[in-house]
Amino acid sequence: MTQAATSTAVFKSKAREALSDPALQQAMDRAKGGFVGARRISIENLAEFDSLRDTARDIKDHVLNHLDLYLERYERKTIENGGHVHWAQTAEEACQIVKKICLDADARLVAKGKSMVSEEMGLNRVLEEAGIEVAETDLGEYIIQLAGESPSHIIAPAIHKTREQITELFYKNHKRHGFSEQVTRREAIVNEARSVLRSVFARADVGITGANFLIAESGANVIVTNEGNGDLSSTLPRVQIITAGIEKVIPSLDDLSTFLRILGRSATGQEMSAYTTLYSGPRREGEVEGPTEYHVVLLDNGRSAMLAGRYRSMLRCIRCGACLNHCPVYSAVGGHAYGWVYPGPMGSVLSPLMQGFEQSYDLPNACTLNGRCNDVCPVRIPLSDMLRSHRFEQYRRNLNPWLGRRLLSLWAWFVRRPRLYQGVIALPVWLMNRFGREQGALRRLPGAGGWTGSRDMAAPEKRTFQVQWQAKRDNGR
Amino acid sequence: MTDARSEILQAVRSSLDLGEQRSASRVALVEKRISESEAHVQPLVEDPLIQQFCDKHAAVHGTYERVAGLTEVPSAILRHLTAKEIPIELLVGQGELLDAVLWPSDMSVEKRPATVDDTVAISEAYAGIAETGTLVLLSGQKRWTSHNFLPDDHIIILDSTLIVRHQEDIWTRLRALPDGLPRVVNLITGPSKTADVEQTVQYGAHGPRRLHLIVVEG
Amino acid sequence: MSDTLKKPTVGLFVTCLVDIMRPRVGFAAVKLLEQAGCEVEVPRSQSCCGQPAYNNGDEVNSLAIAKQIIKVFDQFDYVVVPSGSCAGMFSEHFPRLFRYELDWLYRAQRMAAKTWELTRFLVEVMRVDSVDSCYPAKCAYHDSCSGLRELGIREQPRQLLSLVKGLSLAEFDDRDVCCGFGGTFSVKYPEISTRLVSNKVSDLAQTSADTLLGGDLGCLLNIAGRLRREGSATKVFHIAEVLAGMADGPGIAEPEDEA
Repeated sequence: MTQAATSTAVFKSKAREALSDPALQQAMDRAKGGFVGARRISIENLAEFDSLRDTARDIKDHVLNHLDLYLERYERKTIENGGHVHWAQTAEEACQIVKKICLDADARLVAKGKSMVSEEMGLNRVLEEAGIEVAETDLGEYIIQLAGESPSHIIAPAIHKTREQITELFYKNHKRHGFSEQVTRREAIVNEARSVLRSVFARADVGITGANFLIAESGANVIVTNEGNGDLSSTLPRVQIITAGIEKVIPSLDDLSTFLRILGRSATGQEMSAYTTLYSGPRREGEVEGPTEYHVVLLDNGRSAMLAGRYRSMLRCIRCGACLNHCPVYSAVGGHAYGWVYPGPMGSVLSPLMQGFEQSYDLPNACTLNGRCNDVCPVRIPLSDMLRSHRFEQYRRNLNPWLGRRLLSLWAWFVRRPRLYQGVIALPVWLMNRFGREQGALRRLPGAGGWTGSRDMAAPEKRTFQVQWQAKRDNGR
Repeated sequence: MTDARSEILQAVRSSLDLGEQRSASRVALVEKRISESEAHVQPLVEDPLIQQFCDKHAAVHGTYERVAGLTEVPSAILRHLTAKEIPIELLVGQGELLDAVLWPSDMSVEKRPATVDDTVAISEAYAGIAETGTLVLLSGQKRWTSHNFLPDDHIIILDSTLIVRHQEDIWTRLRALPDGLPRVVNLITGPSKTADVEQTVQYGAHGPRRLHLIVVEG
Repeated sequence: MSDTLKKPTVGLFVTCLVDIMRPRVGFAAVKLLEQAGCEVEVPRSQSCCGQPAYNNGDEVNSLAIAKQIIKVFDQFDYVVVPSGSCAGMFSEHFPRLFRYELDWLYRAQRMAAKTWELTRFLVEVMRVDSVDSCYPAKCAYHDSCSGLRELGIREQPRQLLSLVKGLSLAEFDDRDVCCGFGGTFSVKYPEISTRLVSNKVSDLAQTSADTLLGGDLGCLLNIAGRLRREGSATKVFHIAEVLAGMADGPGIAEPEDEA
């Protein structure tokens, strides 16, 4: 299910909605506690964690410096393994490639494991328009597919859904599969989804997954999951398609181990996911199980351009979601407010780059620059610095709201002339003190409704520090 | 006419501001980096490895039994399945140990890919990784990956001498295989699970609900 | 502190918020610095560190403001700031601003090297081991994000507070989560800012502390503003006020003459 492009209007209004949605708030609270706490415990138990982060960052930086060669090497090995490698410059091209593979294979049903890149591509809609049924099999993706929504978190797509909402969705949609009861217990919910999706794996003609890593050494594609649906989608159907961004390639298997040690812990607090699988091509000679066709679709979609500038380190991202989990803004408004498939800090960096600065005005600005995301990023991406860079870019392109920009310019004009500034602020300070000193604070302040709507504004002293200091000096201390 | 592949590679190279684009020295550097690849920082893993491995496996909701020899395997399997009241209809994969097992005649044993109706599969692990309690299973002509995912119950036989300390030890072994990596290398740590419903872990999302390990020592 | 022939000279950067909203913090800082043995001057030609321009993408004004500050504070041994975010602006961001202007880069790096947030300065440079202050109450300390993450300020204020007679310290849950101020963020995204500060206020309530302390007036104005709106009686002071024994009057957002 594709989402409308990010836009200014979307963020503010969706954020407002989200803040007053009790079900969402409850869900976000639970999620925040879960992921944050689990991560902390798992890294407390690993003395080498920080050192691993440095190593991981260095590996990624090295690969990015030679990305062309690593991609060529990965491609050569994949072809040696009997696979096909397709290259797509844009999301649209990638969708067309996947569609062609499916149509050429006479596919009726596609089983999808979770792939954020496929969301970025908007793949499902293109396949559905071509008459192919697309079944999401990751439980979270399945839930939001039923709800007609897009994912709100890159690891837990249905994190915003409460149990009651899931019960409702299943009750409405599972009747045609022969289920007529409302399932309320978590265990029963999972069991019912398991039953319903079993037949998908068995009937699907094509399985599509993403890739957490592409190994240049041997041409392997690695998926890191817990449910098993990605693996079933990669073994039972006769055609296997992997969609991956070009930045996913890493040099060797040893490098993989370093990343695996930080990925699970950063994402969900796990040392190792239940299933970490390396796929190396179609079925081998003499095998009766496994796909006969194996395709890797490599997507650029702006990544090669990101390589050139100050955003290069964003390409280190291993899509763990730690930045989302630790971002107070994301925790308050949830993923849908970000308007596209990548939410939170990493989404606020990527969306302007991939969707355009004009469309994504609010994302880099709805951030306090507190830097907690930088602290938890396993590959040390300076996320908040990038968000500030986006703000510089927005200013350069004159995308700021007119009034705010004018006020800031006016303010800066005075700040650059400190003595004049001090003269000018004397009156407002005196006035604020005059009207506020009895209560100690002002409940209303013209022009500052954003503050006084929900907070009192402390009343200043009658005179500023500089005025008092100068007076003391003049009187001889 | 240039195709997407050339254009992407060209875009990458120009972003990297490369003078000599595909210079011999760069190519050699990349090859060297791969061929001389070594383990980076590794966590400390305490001895004894077997107990470390079993503890880690149990910590992720796996169960296990340590047996003294191959002859005890069928009874260990029987014990596990009867305790859980699971019908004794086994799918068995290929492996040095498993191939040598003498299955009692009253046990239904089949050697074929799994279907959605199968309930129990027995696989032999290529290795175990003590660092994380992970089992390594390779696909093969008679080692069906479907065994690892379709049945409700998965039982894995592991030769205790094949337990290694760190994950990288597996890569060293796999690199020595004559045909390179098989189609599938599964690193399995505990049974299937999900926390997609209210952030609470449930087992048996799509893969097995239960993962039982039989560690064969001696 | 060992005897020195010459007292270190400190240029105090007051910060716009202290200057406008709570001058007594500036006086408290001067008192602490003089007691620690410094010669303190407050250059007149200062207004703001420039963060509102910098964090809103206005490169031209950020550079101009920075150049002015660097010139004015050039002469001092140290630049001390009673705010983690403004100190961070000088020490972390000034050098970045000037990365394409090599002649200014050197000067910016020099300024960065001699800029200190107040509590870090007192502990790490002046090695203050006693304060003339008594504040018998249960306090909670709020770590500002920039102070914490850019400048590594966590233990230093707590160390200083342990020198205050009668003061006991409680720690917040989620203490490393932002209070929602974020400068202009607080007025550009008020609903989100309000949610964050409400969370902070309820975390504070859980500590049953009587007083909230912190090193950044922006955060403190934000939290105090919300506390008052919610009708809470919790007092809020800048740490300098307590350390300097100047916290016997009204706290932030409290009326001047209290019964």
